[in-house]
Amino acid sequence: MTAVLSFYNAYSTLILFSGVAALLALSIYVTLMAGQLSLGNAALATIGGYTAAILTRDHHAPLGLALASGALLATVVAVIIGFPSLRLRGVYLAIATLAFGEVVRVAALNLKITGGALGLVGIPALAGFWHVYGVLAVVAFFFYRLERSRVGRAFAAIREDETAAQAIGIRVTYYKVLAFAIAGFVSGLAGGLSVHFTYVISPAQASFAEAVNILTYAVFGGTATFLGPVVGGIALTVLPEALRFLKEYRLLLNGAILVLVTIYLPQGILTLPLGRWRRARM
Amino acid sequence: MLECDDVSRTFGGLKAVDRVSFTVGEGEIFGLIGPNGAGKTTLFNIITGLLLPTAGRVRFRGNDLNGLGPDDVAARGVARTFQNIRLFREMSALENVIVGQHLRTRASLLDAMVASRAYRVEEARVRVRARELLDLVGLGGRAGELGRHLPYGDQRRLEIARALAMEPRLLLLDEPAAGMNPAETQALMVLISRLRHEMGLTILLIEHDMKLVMGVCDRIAVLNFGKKIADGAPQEVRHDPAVVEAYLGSRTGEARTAPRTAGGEPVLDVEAVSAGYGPVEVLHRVSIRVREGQIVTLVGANGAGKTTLLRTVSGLVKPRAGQIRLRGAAIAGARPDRIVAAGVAHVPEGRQVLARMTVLENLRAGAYQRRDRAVERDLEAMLERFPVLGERRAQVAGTLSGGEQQMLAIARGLMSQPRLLMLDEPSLGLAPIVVERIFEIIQELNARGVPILLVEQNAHLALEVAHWGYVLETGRIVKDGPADRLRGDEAVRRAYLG
Repeated sequence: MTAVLSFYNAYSTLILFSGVAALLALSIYVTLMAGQLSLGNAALATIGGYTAAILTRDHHAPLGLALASGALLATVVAVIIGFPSLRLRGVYLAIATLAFGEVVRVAALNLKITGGALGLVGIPALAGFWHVYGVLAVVAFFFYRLERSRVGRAFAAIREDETAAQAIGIRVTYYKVLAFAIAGFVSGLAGGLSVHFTYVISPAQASFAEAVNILTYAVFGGTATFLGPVVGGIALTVLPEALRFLKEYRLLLNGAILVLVTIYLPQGILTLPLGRWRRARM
Repeated sequence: MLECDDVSRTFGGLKAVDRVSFTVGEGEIFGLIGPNGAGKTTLFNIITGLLLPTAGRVRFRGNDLNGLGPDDVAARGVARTFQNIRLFREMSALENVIVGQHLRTRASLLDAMVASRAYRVEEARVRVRARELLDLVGLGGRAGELGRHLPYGDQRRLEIARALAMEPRLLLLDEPAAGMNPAETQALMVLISRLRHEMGLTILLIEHDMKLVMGVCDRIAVLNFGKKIADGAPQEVRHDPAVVEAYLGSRTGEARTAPRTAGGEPVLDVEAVSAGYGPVEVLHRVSIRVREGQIVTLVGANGAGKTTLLRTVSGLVKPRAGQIRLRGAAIAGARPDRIVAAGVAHVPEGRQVLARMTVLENLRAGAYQRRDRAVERDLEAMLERFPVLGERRAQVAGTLSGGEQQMLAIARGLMSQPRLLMLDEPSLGLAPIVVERIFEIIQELNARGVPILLVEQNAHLALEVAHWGYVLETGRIVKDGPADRLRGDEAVRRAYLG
């Protein structure tokens, strides 16, 4: 027991980051389920993070209220950017959502309430293991059931063939916006959680690099089921640390692993063990 | 049940559908036929809300469908299948039919989260229903297979099952028998009749297989160049002179005299070639020969395998069996660029000019493989031979008219200095006067010594310019002979109209 505790104490930040990465990966997974490549999730998480941080730090709000507020604001913003984005497909949608991320980053840099370039510091330490992994468990369960519901099947139909989906009566606009809304809520939650164990937030969290990281989690883990993004988020957060013994070659190998996975396991690292399981589901 | 009232749709200057009116009664099976590009699928797209009509209205059970989106039209009870199958390819057959019941399910996300009774009952129900529908179309044993792994005919049946899952009142079938073998087509006819009798469905179908159309339809409307040219009972329609002309093309009056030439050495030899896509075999042991100085034409109905044969010769489709020789050298299975280098120029169906490049750039692209210095001189010669292209040398190809694009596509093919020119449907979608001009060009080219393999829907016209003809029916050569003797031959008429 003490061994477990000392392990946790040594690696607690890494373990918490893994959980948040899994949540962010799930947030991009939901739009991918509906065939939309949206890269605005880092910015949505930043909105959730700032909102929650301001509420707990300046107004002493309880963590639950702060998280819910951040997630809701991110949801509203996601729906607002979701509507115009519906006209865009594929890479154009990706570019537009990246541009949205840039808008959020620059706004955070210049606004007073977000603390400008320095961001906010001294955010209270409210989030621990059970908060992060409790939320992750609930969200993962949500996705588990979503995949087996009418809504999840409508997402899948839109991803496979939008025209055919419309022809069987699926309201494509509604479901795409719904996917954006869920993505906003989950990324807002993730952002709100992370600031309460890192104690700081800055505009850099809405950067291009962060947006791409989140996509990498989902692609690395695979997007056939919700387990892919969860595993991908955790694995890619732990991997650079696990490779620390390689010293200066660490990032080189990290990159090589990514390249190899995309080439040889284009459906993600869960392809092999999950192939049979996915078939058995229906 | 369904009324189309003076429905028109234009694309740019092209009238794809031109003031078409017809009425389908409750419980009727109504056929929509016509040659390629007649506007049949466009009409389907208008009815199902994928396209807005530029004029006219569509009424379904007394209500206007104009302006409704495809999902709303579906919600009112109109289901359809697609000509180029649009299954959910990464889902199993069962999943496809379950998704198809979207409109017949209600359970909310919250129900799903807490696994409420309503959710569980509904999930069980959609599964049972999906299995019933798969059994109905004869796919009961393949429920677990992915859509993309199913053979072609099964994919078509699965699309029907998915459409039936919506519990529609009107079912639109777009070429349901395309790619099916005769036994499958027979089974499909039985299925279509059952749908009417057992489920009380009204059915509107587009089909090229005349046996099916004549066998199941109560009434038929015939479209040509966007206009309705005939309607009525199947027997009346098939002997209507306007219909026969629409399918086989008109004669030009002043019969061209394609001089009877014996032809020289063989240029192209196709020997017992079989080819296809995925699980479908389209060509069965087809043999044809083109000689020096000849125009050889390949006629046959839609889906007979004409285009596939050209694609096999040019290496875009790998033959499964048989041999292809160009002047004695084996080219079967070689890479397309090597085959072009060996001297085969393929002018594809639909022209496929490089739309964003100028006329000159398109022509230069045609000479891509050449390393000699005569390219610029040939370019000038080409612009002289096709004065329209000369005038428009700097124009972006996508903005040319259909006829000009066809000339550009032919000129581009010629820039590779081919030993054999293959033309796929050069008359497709073009006005009669433009078609005349294109065919004159084909004859001129041939007179200058270019052997030509011509694929054409317009059988009469093709047989007028050609020296030798082959009739292709469902992937087999059923007849060949001197072109002038094939004209008016019963086998040709049967290949088109059944």
